Amino acid sequence: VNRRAIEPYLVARCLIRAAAWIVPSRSRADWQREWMGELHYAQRTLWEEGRELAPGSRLVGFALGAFQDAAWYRTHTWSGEHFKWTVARGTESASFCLFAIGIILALITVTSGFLPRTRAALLRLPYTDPDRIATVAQGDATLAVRSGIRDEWVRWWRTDSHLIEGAATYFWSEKTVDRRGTQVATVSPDFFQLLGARTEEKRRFASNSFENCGDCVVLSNDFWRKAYDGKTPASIVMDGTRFRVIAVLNKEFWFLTRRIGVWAIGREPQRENRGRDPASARRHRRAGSRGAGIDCAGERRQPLVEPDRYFFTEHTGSRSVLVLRARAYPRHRNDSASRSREFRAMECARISPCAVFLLQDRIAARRCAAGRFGIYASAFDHDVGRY
Amino acid sequence: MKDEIKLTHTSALVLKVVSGGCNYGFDIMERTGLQSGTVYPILRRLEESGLILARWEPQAAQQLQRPQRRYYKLTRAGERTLVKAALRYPLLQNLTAGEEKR
Repeated sequence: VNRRAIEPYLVARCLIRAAAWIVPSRSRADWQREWMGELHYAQRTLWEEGRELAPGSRLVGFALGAFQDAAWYRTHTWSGEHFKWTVARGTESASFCLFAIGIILALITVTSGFLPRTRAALLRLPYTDPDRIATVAQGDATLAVRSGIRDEWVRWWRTDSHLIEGAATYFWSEKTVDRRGTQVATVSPDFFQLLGARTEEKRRFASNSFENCGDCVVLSNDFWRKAYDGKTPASIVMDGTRFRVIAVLNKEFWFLTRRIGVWAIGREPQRENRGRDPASARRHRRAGSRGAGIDCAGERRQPLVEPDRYFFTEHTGSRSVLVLRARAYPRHRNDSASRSREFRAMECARISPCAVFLLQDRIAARRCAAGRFGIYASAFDHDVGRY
Repeated sequence: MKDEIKLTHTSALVLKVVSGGCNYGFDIMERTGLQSGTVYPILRRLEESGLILARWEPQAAQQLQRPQRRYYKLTRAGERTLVKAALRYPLLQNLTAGEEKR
């Protein structure tokens, strides 16, 4: 057989093989077998008998008809029609809809029960008025580059801010508790009160709950059950030091991660910075106040001077961030423009050039333009997903 | 019920050709001048309606070193339907008369 006869034959075979994919799988083998048989016969007839002027084109034309035949197979087979009809009728029935809703609800229940992140997204956060909670960190949006907040800002937020109701600090690290490794968070005394946390006995923490309590810890409910079988120990040994257990948290309470087993009550931020050097303090004060003749906008454009030389000497602890609770505004001042103006003025005077400001009823995020040492703040419920 | 099937002129032509002894798809194409994309779907419909029957040719064909072919032949229902179709399409007889003489 010469080459002119082979090429159209091969093309035709390819076309038939391609068309075969249209045919339902259960009929495909027979369908292809019939077409290949006819193709072989057609090739022999057209070339050997020499009845056609252009037998190659005729052969390819013959094979192209396979697509029409395959399409007919696909759309007219009884099983296909029957299946479509069954599905169509099924979806119209009430029982099918109820079944589908049941499956969806079951999936949501199962995933929310087993996956903490899903559960966290679906359930309300276990804090009093969580919409007014924000976390603040110095650094970027990712946890890896977050670091502490300058002490002066914390003090300012606590004493002078009209927008912030309270500010608590925390950081956590891996420690050994009664020969068991766990995450231990060190928090400021007002931490639990700020979040509205409750104890296992549903009791709220008060402002004086941790007075004269330098060696106090609070156990998370999960750790209490696993490590102590639900029996509250009088004290625990953490990294060789004994601490008094004064409460067990309610089982719903968690913050940033559920892996924290013990909450130690830390000292106030300013007292943690024993190594603060006078030179950095002077720089600190200089950066915090506005120079003569520099307006707010001008100061905002001004970059921080040597930020990496003093920022880390005055932070509140490694990996610590700040929890803020926004103060609810009086109704007559409930417009974002006046809030923004007031806060920007305060911000410019006090913590320039960074910004944490309140917009409408949420604490919104704004990263300041201070290179990589910006403040990052966000409403807490949005922030959870990053941990 | 099968007798009441109404055929198009083209389907009737294919049925007539099958009754005349053309049993294979390519032969039917050659005889009628229709394209393969027309002939094969008609054959499927006629088979589905029970007017023709499809069978694989005997295994002996493989001894000739060529693929097996599928052949079609008229059923009794097909014969009855063809009689009615001939009455409906008088020209059908003329179109295939030459072939029958041959």
